[in-house]
Amino acid sequence: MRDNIIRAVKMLVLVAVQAFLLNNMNLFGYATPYLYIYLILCMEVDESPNKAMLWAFAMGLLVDIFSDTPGINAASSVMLAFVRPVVLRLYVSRESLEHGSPSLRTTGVGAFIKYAATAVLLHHTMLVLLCYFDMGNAVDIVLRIVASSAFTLALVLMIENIRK
Amino acid sequence: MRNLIAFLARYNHWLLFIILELVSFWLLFRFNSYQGSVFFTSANRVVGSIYGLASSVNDYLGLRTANEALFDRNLELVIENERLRSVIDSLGMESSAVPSDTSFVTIGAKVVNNSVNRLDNYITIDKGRADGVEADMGIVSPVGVVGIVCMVSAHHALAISVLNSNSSVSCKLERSGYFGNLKWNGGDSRTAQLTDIPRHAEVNVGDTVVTSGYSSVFPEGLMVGTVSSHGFSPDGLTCAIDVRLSSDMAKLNMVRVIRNKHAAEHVMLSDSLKRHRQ
Repeated sequence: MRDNIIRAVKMLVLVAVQAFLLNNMNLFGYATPYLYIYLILCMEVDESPNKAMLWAFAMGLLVDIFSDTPGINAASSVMLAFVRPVVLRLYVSRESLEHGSPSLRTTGVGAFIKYAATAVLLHHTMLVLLCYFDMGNAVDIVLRIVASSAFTLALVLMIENIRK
Repeated sequence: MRNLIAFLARYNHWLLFIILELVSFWLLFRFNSYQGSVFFTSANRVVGSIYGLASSVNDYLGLRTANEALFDRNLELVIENERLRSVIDSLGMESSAVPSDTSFVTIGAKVVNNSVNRLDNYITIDKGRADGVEADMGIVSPVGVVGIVCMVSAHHALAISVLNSNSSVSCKLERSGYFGNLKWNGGDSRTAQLTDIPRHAEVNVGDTVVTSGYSSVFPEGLMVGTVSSHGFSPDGLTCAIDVRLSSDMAKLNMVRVIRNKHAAEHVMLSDSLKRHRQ
């Protein structure tokens, strides 16, 4: 119960930051960070997939409501929550991290960066494809995915660094 | 059957994943064609009010510049209004040519130092010779006359406040047109004295006092204050009028310096008159 409340507060803060600050950013015309997925990134390793997906759906829907993009963020977030355990096991073995949430401290710097980068890239790819599906310009879409992912990853690592 | 249930139990998160994605895509495609979802409309009311709050904060932060722009515009209009009024007056008497431009321009400035509690109060502003400010220019706040520049350095200027025993601003009663000088004898910082109004002038409490335009410092018709009380001077020859100043001298912030393009001409003329008399 207490964990849920803490997570809900985190979620509201992240949604607010996303809606009022980050959504207004468009660095170099391409990079818009979607930091809210940080909540999904640092869920516990042994969190049940169903619970993770429901949280991700709620969060994505909130961001959608604030960004006038119904379903896009929700779909991407749910996808991220679904594949996250797989991505995590690619870089972090079950022996090295049994409980707790992945972070710079618990998984080590290299593993965490790889994990976060893959997750962010997957999420942003789906998000940008859904957003700009009809634009048809492949170079533009790829630039947008890469630039936004880099921006989000930088913010995630910055927060991790402060928390460490 | 048991196998099916076991299968579903084993892979139930796949099922949930598919359901949630279906809901998301349903929202996505539904919204592209049809905007009127009840859920999103009611949610948008909440979101809209939150955004309204955010934008009102933004608006509030922008108020200062908006206010300044309005102040400038207002001053322009006051000067323009007086010019047009004088044109109308002159047209009534003779068909003279309409003056083509106004002779007053304004320079925005910020008050950086100010006092109200001495007998001789001065105001320092952050604009100087480099910005076109010179001695004997008038200073006004958004609501009324404030003082006259007396000393100028490169980037600052010192002005004699209206609240100064040496200050004298030529003013008139707007309603009756009698003119006199606005002075200050110390005391309340919100009240100044209008002197030299003839005894027979009709004065009422609440009458508006504006600049007369007889000196080159202020254009005609700028707000100074309103009559708060009136009586007669000790010698009995003139009225003694207390004027409640329209600008609160204790909280000046943004002001405008008024530059008269023809001030030099005006001063030269009155100087030659003085020489002529001697």
